[in-house]
Amino acid sequence: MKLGERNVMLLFLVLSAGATLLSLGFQHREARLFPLIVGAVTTVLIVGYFVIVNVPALRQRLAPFIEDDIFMKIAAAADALPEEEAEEASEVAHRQYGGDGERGARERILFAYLGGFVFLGWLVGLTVATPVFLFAAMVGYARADWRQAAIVTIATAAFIHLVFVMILRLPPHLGLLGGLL
Amino acid sequence: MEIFNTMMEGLGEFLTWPLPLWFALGMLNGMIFGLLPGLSGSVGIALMIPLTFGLSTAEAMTLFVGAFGGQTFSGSITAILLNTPGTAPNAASTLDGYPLARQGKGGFAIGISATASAMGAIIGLAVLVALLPFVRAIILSFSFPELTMLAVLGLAAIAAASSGSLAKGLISGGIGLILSFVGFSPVAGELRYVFGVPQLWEGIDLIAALIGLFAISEVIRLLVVRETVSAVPLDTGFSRKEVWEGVRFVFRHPWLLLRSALIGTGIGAVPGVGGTVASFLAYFQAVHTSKDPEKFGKGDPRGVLAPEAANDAKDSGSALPSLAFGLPGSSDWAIILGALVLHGVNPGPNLIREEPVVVWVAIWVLFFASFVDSLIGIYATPLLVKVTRVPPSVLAPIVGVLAVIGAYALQRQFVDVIFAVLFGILGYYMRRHHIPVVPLILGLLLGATVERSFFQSLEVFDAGIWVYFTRPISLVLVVLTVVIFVAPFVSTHRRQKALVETGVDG
Repeated sequence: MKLGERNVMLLFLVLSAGATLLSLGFQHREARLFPLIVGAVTTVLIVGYFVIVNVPALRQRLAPFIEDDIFMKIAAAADALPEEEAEEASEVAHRQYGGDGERGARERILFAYLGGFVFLGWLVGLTVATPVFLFAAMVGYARADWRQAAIVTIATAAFIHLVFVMILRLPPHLGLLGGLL
Repeated sequence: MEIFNTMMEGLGEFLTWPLPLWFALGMLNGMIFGLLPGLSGSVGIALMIPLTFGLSTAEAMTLFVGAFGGQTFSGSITAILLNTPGTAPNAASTLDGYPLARQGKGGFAIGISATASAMGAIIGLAVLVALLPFVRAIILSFSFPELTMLAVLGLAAIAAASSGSLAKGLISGGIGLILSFVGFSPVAGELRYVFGVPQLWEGIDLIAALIGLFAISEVIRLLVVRETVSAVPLDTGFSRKEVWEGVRFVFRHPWLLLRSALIGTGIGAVPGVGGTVASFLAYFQAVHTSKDPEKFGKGDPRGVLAPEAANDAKDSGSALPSLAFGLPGSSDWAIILGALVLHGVNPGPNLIREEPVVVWVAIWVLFFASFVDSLIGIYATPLLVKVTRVPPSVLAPIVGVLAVIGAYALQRQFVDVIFAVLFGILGYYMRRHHIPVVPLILGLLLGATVERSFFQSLEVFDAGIWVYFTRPISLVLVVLTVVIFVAPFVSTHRRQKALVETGVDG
């Protein structure tokens, strides 16, 4: 099992086990029954998955439970191929840009951008955060030409204003600071 | 006769302004997102959800299904001309389509693809229309136990059939159900898993989850992988005559067309399996039934016809479980059914019971979309492929901010933005590790229905859980659910036994 897959499964395990334990505190039987059963079954499934994947004898015996069947292999292969090729191409491109070429590093940087966008949106509102993020993500992360990025940012902000503010009558989101003013 | 009247009512509604406008906008969205390698048509559908706020159910359905119908063929344009499938199911068309394009027969291949797509969709729709009266009769006899078991069966089927293992599918579905329990209990009215956050009282917003799992996750993937479209010069200078030769080729192979379309319809009708399997199975079928299989992979036109017919027929097939039972036949239908909650349509078989005209509008949209899509493809391919020249570094951030604004726009709550981004990151990792996201969405979508109808069954029938085994349709659904879990083990056991016997004999 890959590290990333294990982390996702561990997150699910914490979620399902936590949900099961918390459900014991619900007052009404009707409110408790489904969270308890679904939480417990999901927890057992995740623990079982970990055990089966890591014990070779069980892995062979219970293969249909944990392995993709032939249809799914076809689908997975068809899905995976372009991404694998693209991954390889992007590694080369990234090295040319002088980056470290590691997918994990790119993920962390991108998530930092997304986190910054959400924080900025909460603080000053989406109306301001959106063009700032758009320009920063294009120039800083995706390394687009800044002039092209500036034009795209202005055009997108105008499009969002037209559709959401003028047509759908959505009031501009001003965030925490905007609300205080 | 009643069915015919409803069908004509659906046509009348579809032709009434402004539905043709929503149809055109949906088609445009579908064609653009279908063409863009790296971003699937699901992203386009998810982005349109906030725009449907204030539209009627029929209008929203027209917009969504128009986009759904518009994406399938356009994805094959890039598969044939650039060797880069616009959507995953178009991957099978690269096997012979791209070699044909390299031989200077790109127009011929586009003609085959456009015609096979349209004809495949029509054959699939004919099967759908033929089955609908029977399915409707069954659905009308449904009560609470059947509704509960249908939802359970749907979850089991999608968990088993979605790409990834049975275990991963079930875990994903379980997590979706757990997330659906957040907020007020639909039966007892007690608050669950809200941790003192008032914004969670109404539960996790399904639309924010849909936008996150389907749109933001793909934007993250596109930005991390930095997928690039081939920079080779495009050969789009083909003549109309060449394209029409392709059209004629399809009609000279009616049996291959019919077989492939029926495979696509059958696979599409199984919830969760999806178009990639349909198109590859149709391709393999074309190879195996051919007298000269060695020609495939080197530019055999039949290798374009079969997957394209199956791919569009699967859209019609997937409409059956989606429209009749409320069980999404594909990830696109999962988004559409989730978005329809906004318009007061409860998940499950209520759509066909309460809004049969809307169901027929959807069928008419699929019918017209197959023609319009192919005609535009035949006449405007050189223009359309220019869309693929937009660099991902520009495209992905634009789609990302549109998705975030869309998540906020529906309820004007900033917490939905946070949820959309968190679901986007979760969806990205789930896809990366082949954990299917559709069961999670289905769990989130059906959780409240399962819970409510389970307790209603106990109350109304006063027979405990035996009510599920004493009613015929409910019992059939229970048996089918058990079969889904047992079948993979039985087939593996048989395969292993056969292998052992072959080894002994040999």
